[in-house]
Amino acid sequence: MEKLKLKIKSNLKLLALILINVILIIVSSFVSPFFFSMSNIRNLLVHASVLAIMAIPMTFILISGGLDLSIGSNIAFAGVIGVLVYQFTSNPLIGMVGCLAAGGLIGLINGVMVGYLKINAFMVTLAFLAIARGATLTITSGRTISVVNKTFNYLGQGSIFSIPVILILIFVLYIIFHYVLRHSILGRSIYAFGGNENAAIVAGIKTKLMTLYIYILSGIMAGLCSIFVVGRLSSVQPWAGLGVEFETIVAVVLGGISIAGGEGDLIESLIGVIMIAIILNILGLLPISPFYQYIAKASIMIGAVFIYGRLKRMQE
Amino acid sequence: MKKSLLWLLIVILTTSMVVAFPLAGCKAVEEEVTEEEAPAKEAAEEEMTEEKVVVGAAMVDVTNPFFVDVIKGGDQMAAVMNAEVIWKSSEGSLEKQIALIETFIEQNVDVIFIDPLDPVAVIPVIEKAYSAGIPTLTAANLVESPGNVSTPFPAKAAFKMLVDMVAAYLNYEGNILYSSGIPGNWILDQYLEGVEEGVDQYENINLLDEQPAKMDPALSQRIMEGWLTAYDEISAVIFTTDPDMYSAIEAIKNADRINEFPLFSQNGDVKAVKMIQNDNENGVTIDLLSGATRIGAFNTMIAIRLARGEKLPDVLWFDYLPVMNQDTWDYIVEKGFDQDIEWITPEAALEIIENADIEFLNWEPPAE
Repeated sequence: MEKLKLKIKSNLKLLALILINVILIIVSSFVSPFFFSMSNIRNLLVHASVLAIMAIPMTFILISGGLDLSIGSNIAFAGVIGVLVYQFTSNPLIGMVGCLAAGGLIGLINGVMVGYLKINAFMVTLAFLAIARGATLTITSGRTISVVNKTFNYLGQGSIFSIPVILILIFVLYIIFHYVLRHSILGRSIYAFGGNENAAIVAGIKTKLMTLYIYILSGIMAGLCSIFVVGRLSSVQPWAGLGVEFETIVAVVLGGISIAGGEGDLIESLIGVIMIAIILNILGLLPISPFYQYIAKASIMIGAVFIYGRLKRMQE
Repeated sequence: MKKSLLWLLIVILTTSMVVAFPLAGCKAVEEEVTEEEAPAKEAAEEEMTEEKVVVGAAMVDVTNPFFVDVIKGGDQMAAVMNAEVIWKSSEGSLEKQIALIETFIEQNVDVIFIDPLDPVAVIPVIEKAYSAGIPTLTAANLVESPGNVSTPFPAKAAFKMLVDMVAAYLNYEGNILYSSGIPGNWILDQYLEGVEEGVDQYENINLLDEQPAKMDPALSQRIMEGWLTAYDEISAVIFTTDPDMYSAIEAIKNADRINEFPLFSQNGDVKAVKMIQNDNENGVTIDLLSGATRIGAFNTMIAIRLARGEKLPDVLWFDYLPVMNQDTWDYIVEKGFDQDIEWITPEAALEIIENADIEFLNWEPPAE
């Protein structure tokens, strides 16, 4: 009994997040009869896919004490480059690699500037938010490009045994990166660096290289999201990914990741993503004025953070 | 510990109230509208015996005043036709718009009214709605898909016609400037093409310059300032939207060149229409009335009729109405403008803007 109590107490933070989600699910089921249907849950999860994928590198970056504001624009940029590569080669697989490479390239530049040139992450990634979007608009002249290839669109539209492929992929990614963050040298370096940069350097951690890795990861994940978005919309949208950076940061912080760095967990980020997804879904299902929706969304988030904060303090 | 629990309770209650309030608010607004209906609307409502239908509306954005007026016009029509419109904002994101439409399908609304961000990209989700037995309506764009009715604007033709009127007003001679919209936006590009094709018809009408004001009044003002510095011989200026024209008027006033050349625009804002009514104040001469409230009322009316199972043509063009004074009309006709078009006076325009629902209440589709 004492053991169980101790276990509950040590995991109170995680339990609090789960509890908040359970409350949200119960309330949502009561206020909308459509909420708890299988197809709505499927929609809810698919709609949250981009957030769920981008929450992985954002968790890594925030724990390390960094920030990446360029991810939304990078999704659009990587999508355009990938589709141009596909049009040039007529090979959808090479096009998809193009998406990952283009995203990774932006991540590489971000990583070099933040890690090696020691330029402030906020400023670097804010600049690339504008550069990537500007490049996308310049290349496309603000127009969409249709993509009708089944292979290219498979990630956005395909399913295996009625389960969308993207959800299976997200599940696999979370298992892999949870392991990386918790049990690999890179993961431990990220925690150490975010907790105390100087101590991490003294301990021999290659902080520059580590920073480079996580920003490249962020870029590649943006490229992955671009493949999903292109597939789902059967086209490249120059304004794709608009505002994704802010929603991802909100989801990750709701999950309890400290902006100050050194603290947090990938599972908590995932719970934060689900929380955002539930809130957005239920606000979509209710006949609420779109003007009021902004207030309701923010209020629910503040409420959730507050409940979480109180429970965390109780744990301490 | 007890204090913490008390705090938790307070937060849960507050959050619940925030969610519950708009639901109560929606009902209150609905009742208020019913009480304040004009006699004409009351008569129309009395005739209404059909069951209430629910329209799901996925808008491009709701922060722009244009869309606020679309909602106003739509709600007016819904109140008269015994319907409820659930307005949702896509916040400028196609991904969000598709998510909203999927949520409407999930809710099993009676019809979905879409203001598409991309007329091609929404086709798969329109097909999904069709499979679920939900009719759809796409406003402002031509979207060809089973079960969908499009209400596109004849944007290019409208601006070509506007250039014809401008040319007649200038006696087929002069230098025109065009403050265009956002490059890449389908409708705004159509306006530009209409202007260019229109100008090409006339040997002595020159398009001095075309600059994209991007629907940004501040940018429009800067463009106007540049033109006023660069060009002495300006015969007329055409604007894409009324708000762009208002800020440009300030620049013209500052340069002390007001009423030196006529201004032409599109939207049908009350402010612009009143300027025309007030003897072409500030040079405002003709405004094409698309009218956000008209757009909202027209599309909501079509959506409700689709929800009630009415068969309508796949494409229903939404016409612009040129607003001008009788003197202007007489003048351009005298100068040779011979197109048989429907135009309205500012007084009629103001009535339509205020009562967008009345204009379309007895609307019938054009004969095939």
